[in-house]
Amino acid sequence: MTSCKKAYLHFPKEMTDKPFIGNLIKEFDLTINIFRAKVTPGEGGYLSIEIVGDDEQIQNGFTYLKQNQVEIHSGDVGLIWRKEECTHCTNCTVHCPTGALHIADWDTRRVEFDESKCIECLACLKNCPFHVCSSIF
Amino acid sequence: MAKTYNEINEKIASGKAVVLTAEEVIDYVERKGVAAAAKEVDVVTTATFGPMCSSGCFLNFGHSAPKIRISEAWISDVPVYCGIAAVDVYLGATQLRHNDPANMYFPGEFRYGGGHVIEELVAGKKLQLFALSYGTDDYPRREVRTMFDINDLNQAIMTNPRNCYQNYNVAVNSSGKRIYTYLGILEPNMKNMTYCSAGQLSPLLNDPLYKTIGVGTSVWLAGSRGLVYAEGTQHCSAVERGANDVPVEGAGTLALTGNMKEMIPEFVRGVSLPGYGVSLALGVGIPIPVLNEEILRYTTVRDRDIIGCAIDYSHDYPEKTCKVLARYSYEELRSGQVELHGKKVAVSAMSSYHKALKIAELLKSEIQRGDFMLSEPSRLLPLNQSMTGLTITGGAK
Repeated sequence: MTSCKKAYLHFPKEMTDKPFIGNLIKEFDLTINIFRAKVTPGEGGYLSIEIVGDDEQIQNGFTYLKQNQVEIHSGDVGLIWRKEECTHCTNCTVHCPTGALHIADWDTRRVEFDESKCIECLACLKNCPFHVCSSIF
Repeated sequence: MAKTYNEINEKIASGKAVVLTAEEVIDYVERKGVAAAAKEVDVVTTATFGPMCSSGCFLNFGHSAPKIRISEAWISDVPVYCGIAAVDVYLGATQLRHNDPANMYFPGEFRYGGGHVIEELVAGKKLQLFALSYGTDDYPRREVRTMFDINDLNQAIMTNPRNCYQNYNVAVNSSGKRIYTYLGILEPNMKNMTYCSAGQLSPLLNDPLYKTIGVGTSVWLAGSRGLVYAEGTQHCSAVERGANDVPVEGAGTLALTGNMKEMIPEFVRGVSLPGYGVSLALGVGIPIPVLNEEILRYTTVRDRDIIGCAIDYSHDYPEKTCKVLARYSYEELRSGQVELHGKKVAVSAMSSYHKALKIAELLKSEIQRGDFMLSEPSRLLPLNQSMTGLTITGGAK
């Protein structure tokens, strides 16, 4: 079965020169959409991606990454929305291009974060007056 | 049939008061009619939550041995005003942290300032006091560096010269470049619009002619038993009003005070506005006693009957041209999209209706439990007061 999965990866500093994404595409027939990356040679780094492909192949790809000491945060985006700190002012909702941050209840104006829609553009980081959003990297 | 403050307070004390939020009262009165509802309902709770820049607090640190008469001081590196008695200081919400680059690298981030110190104080966090003095015979100490929290202070009295603006501008940017304002980031070519009001829940929109909210009125200030101590700065009641007496612009304001030791951290939040500065968002609830039918009728105001004026913050606001681009009801604004010059514009808020609703409910339950009594204002707010601008004459010759 074909799935679409979000993940962010952490590369240890020894692994920053390996072409992992190229290999995931070539060896495991996966489609990779890179949202954002910060990988510094000799220092390590992060990569936020969306993976589309056969379930088994995704698992095989993850096994390959793990064997190479890549930390996988499967299902997570590299953006944190601290629900309990949100004041629900709604200021972020017009700046979020995908509707990930949206008004979930128009009567009470409750804001929710739909992680599956987040493309990590980070517009919320600079637009939230209360620093409710932060980035893993 | 008119009611008095005493009669309403007696009902509150006996746990029999009928209390509705300013949102609930709208449909209630529509169902029952004003005359019947005015007999039944005793109190309507109003509320708001949003950035209120003219806020701050007086703090008293107590005396060390030997004593110091503080002449300069910083709390967590944020400067405080020391031009008052020895160990009293005033901390303002918009004060930047020492060495904050401000807008030197535009737009500045303004991550931490006075509003954040106030938030952390109320949250019970430990903060650093650094104070200096020139030393006197009776106050010989010249320096203090110590950690403290709100429990170590004798008093922490929030004292806000201007809160609860009756109504407010709706901001938009018609220029070709992004601008950074106290109403948030405004994208070019009128891509987005922001407003800042709790609309039909907002205190002074439910009492547009200040018949019950005046000097001495008990308010719920972030959970504390606060009060209105004066008209707010820039209180300007002589403005255009609709048929329902609701002003279409800023108009009235309130000066509020309350004990920070009684406040709930959720309703005292530091604010960072990129390219603009820091501030403090506060939750305020104000009960309106239903003394008569007229007062009740005012509390039934709906978002669709409250008008906000869209102002161009790229030109008309800074240049003070007084030009209004368009007028919208809060119902239109709260729908998330309005039309301006034939173009659809996304709308969001800087104030939180969600928190305002929560405050109106919290205040309602406190009154129902008999924990919050109403107070009759000792003085009403001025009704026909205007505001002057600043004439620049140059310095002393």
